[in-house]
Amino acid sequence: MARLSRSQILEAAFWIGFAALAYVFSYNFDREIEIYRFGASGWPRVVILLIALAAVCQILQSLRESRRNARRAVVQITETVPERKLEDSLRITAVLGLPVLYAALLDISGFYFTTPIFIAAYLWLNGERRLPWLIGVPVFIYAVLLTVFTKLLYIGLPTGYVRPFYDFSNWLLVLIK
Amino acid sequence: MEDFLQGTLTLFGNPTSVMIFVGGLLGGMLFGAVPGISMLTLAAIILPFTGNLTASDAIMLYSVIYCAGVFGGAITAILFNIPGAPENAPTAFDGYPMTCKGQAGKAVGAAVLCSAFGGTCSALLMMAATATIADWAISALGPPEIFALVFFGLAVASSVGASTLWKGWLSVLLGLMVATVGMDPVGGLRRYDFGFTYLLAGIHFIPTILGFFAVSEVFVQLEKRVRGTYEAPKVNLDFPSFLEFWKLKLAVVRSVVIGFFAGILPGIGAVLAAFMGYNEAVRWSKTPEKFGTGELEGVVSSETANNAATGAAMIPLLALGLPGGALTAMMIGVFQIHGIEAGPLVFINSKDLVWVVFSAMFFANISIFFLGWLQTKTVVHLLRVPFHFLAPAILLFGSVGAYAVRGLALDVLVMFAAGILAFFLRRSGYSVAGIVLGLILGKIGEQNFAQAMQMVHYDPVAFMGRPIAALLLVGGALTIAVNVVKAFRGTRASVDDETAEA
Repeated sequence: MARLSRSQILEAAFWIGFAALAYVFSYNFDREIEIYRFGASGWPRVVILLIALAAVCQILQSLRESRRNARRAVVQITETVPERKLEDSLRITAVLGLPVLYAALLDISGFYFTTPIFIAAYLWLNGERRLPWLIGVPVFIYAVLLTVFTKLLYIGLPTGYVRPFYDFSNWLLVLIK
Repeated sequence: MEDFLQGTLTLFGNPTSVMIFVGGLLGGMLFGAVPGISMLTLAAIILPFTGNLTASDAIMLYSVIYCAGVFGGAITAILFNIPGAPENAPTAFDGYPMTCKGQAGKAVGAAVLCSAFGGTCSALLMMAATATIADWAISALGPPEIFALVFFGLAVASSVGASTLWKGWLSVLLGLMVATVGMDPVGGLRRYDFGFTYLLAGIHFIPTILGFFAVSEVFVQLEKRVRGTYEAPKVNLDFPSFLEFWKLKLAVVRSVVIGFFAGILPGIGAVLAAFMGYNEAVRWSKTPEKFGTGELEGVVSSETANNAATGAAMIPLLALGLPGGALTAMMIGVFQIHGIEAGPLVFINSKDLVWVVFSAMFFANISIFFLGWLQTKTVVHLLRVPFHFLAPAILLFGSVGAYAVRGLALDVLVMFAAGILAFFLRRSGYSVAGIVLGLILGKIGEQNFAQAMQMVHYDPVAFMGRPIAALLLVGGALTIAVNVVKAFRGTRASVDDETAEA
């Protein structure tokens, strides 16, 4: 019997849910525009309808494929499933999460203070344990960034609004310029 | 010819003009090739200083930066999956997989040659037919044609890069949906902003593109390192052979034509040109399934088309005063700084200036061929740096690039959020290329659809009365129909095969 896997069900639920939510929120701007008959919600609603249609077609195709796979499973009983270690999953979560944390801190502690710490932490997270590299690489990348963007191009980067980070950023900017 | 010689003499007869030409060329290539910044950064920085130059030198400088910058963005697209500009995005679709397969030299070499060729052809066409083409384009290409072109492009794009046709469509539609965030293009009503002022202007495509391409790629490679399946790309400096190029001659010619005519369209020029060039290469290919996995034709088509658009973008700018993109819009600013009004009168009042620009663009494209070759030999060696050292550098260059657009730290957050979303979507077989295409063409499509419907008094049949629009709409509909039939037949055939085997 054809059955969808958990990830396929989640995927289908995501798209249908996304389309439903987008449709509900489209009522917030469902107002007439004098010069345009279809209004502001016309175009998004057509896109939403097409998303729902494509999601249904994707479910149908997945069902057909799972039917085929179900037959195959009769012949091939054992299947090698790659083992996923908890430690690896946690590290990948950190690889994805650390840059988000960095971006969230940019406004608070500023680019100039946060960046070298981020580089060293990211290197460590990605398996670098040699101290000279953990210090040397951040210093090199930081120096290149400051030279190119601050010294040469005068691009204003976030200085942070919390003391003492703000003071540090200003001190460094005066020193560079 | 006489005008061209006169323009060349003016350009190379003055040492200051030569220095500005070389500076623009090197600056454009460098800024285009450094991840996180682009030719637009350079153009914006030097804008206030152009008042000190002569009008002809200032406009010439921008035209040279434009040619060199469009090429420069291809290098980071190929080596690191970071398009220097949106018009380089399709170059990354096949360029980066080629790098992963140890064919970086071949991909960058093809980009050098095709950028130079496409740009030179475009410059020659521009010199020969600016006035005629401008007249034709204005009368023949209106909102219905542009909407039809977008529809056709999206129809083809849905079949590229995703594991199934439906995932391809869902990717494109997600891009279209994201493009609806912000103010609607007709009445200015707020859509999906949830009360955030930040979302009023819509989700900016530069942080999004950086997230979808550069950040997601860093995450994918680092995940491989964690799981122990990472393989460093092999550094290879083999350039494509003459025979390989000869086999792709049709793709090159097709992309020159597409790039040139798409480049004429004000506001969308080089971006649409690159995507259309790539899409047509997929559509005409006997092995479309190979695109997205490291097909040389993908790089060739995209780079030829986007550089072919550079010359064409000058046509509406010089003949009508309409900018084709951000850089040509800055050129309007340069004209204004010098008290010149861009438009038909430029050809009468400032004929010398026009021909200096034409000559400079011609020679800039020729120079790309030689300088690009040298740049390739040096930049490719960046791949020798261990990836976990490159990763934070790529993320930080991207962060600065995203921040510098509007000076908002929120754009950096959007970039990382887009990167995480793309990381999961790529794992599930969705097409990042499709999402980006939907995002870029969504607003253009909606705006032109609305204008077109108002033009034809809401009678869709009237679209069929316009030959170019009709051709593109029918072509797009046929492409969708053929792909849908193939998708269902493919699944049915495989199910039937299994039944027979059982």
